[in-house]
Amino acid sequence: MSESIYDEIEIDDFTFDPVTHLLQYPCPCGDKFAIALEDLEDGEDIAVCPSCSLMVRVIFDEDDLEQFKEQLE
Amino acid sequence: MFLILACGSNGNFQLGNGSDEDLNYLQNVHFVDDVTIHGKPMKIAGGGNHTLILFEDGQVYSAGSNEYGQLGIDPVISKSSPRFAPILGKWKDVACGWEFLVLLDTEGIAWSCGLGTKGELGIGDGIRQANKPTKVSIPDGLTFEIVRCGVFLTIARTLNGQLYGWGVCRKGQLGIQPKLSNGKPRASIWSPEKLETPLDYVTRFEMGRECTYIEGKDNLVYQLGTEITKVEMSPQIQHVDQIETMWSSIHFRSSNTIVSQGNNSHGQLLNDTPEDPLVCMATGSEHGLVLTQLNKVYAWGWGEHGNCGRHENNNDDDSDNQDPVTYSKLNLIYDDIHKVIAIGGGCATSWVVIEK
Repeated sequence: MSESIYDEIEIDDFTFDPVTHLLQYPCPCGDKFAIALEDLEDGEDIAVCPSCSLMVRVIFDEDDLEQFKEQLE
Repeated sequence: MFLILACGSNGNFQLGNGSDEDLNYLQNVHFVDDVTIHGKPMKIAGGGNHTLILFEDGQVYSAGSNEYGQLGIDPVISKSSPRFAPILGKWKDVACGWEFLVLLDTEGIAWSCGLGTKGELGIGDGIRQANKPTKVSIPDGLTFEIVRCGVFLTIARTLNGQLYGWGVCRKGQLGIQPKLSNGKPRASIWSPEKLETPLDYVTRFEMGRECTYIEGKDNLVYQLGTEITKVEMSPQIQHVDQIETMWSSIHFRSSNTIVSQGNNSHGQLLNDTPEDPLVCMATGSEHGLVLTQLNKVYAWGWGEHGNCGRHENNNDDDSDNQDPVTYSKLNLIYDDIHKVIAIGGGCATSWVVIEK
């Protein structure tokens, strides 16, 4: 399904919510692409939108995840 | 009298038609005060889940999500407005970002409200939210003529063609940024700063999601990003009549020709020609609209929420390669007798203003 990847977004552009553990980024439909921190740790890199078929690939290195882990209690 | 028609994504009432169902055909929008519109709508600005309409007499109406105060009305009253409600005051320009709005008053002072976690409001260091229009921190005596918002930033232009911006700037969208102690470029600007550009006078400017395009008096277009580059214009573009951006592409119109550059994941780069000459084009987040001289409006690009109308010309031939969310050819969305006076696009929303 590589043709359904709409775009690639750097992890620094995502917003992290330490309560839900979700990284989110605006979708052109008005909703938000989301992926859980744990999924990124497992090597997943596709963030999905709950309201439409669009998906984005998250561009990140393993090291980039530290800043988010530090925000978790 | 004027009527405003809309279709597309509507999960937070951003079409202002009283419903939160997506629409794949144009329908009238509604106003809380039940006015038959007496003024001429001049501009429609779409944010992530909210919409503003500016009228000729300076009135502004908003509809959609008010979760963070982005409608410019008191969110204590309501977290959303399913119909268009008036914002107090008289305004000369309006713009919407993802979850915020910016208004220019008749004196040219900028006001903003909503949520901006990366400086989008421009009302001071670290101030992320405002529930009602709040004065942007502008140096004394500085006034603006026009204002535009990208997804996460705002740029306003002065009478003498200078640009001031605030919001997200990590990728050079507001000009080349100084490096921080961690070696990364500065990420946010919380109060307006002058953009350093190669142009003495900026005639037009448009923002994509990750870069800004500016045009000078000589018709040269520059892209502001991680570096500042001159945009190589296609030989098909003799004179740029219009520049419009989707989130991940740019579109130049020269008379009846549109040349697109950028992301083409869902047919965003126009590869079709209408049967009659163009009057104008408009763009939304990932789709576009054109108005033709025969008073028809067509849409193209990503149309998953009905913002490009319905696939009419399938001939029931449901072949496997028919992608139901991509409109790679121009799709007719308005073909009625009433004169179209304006078109506009938001986040998967389409807008047509008609005179009846």
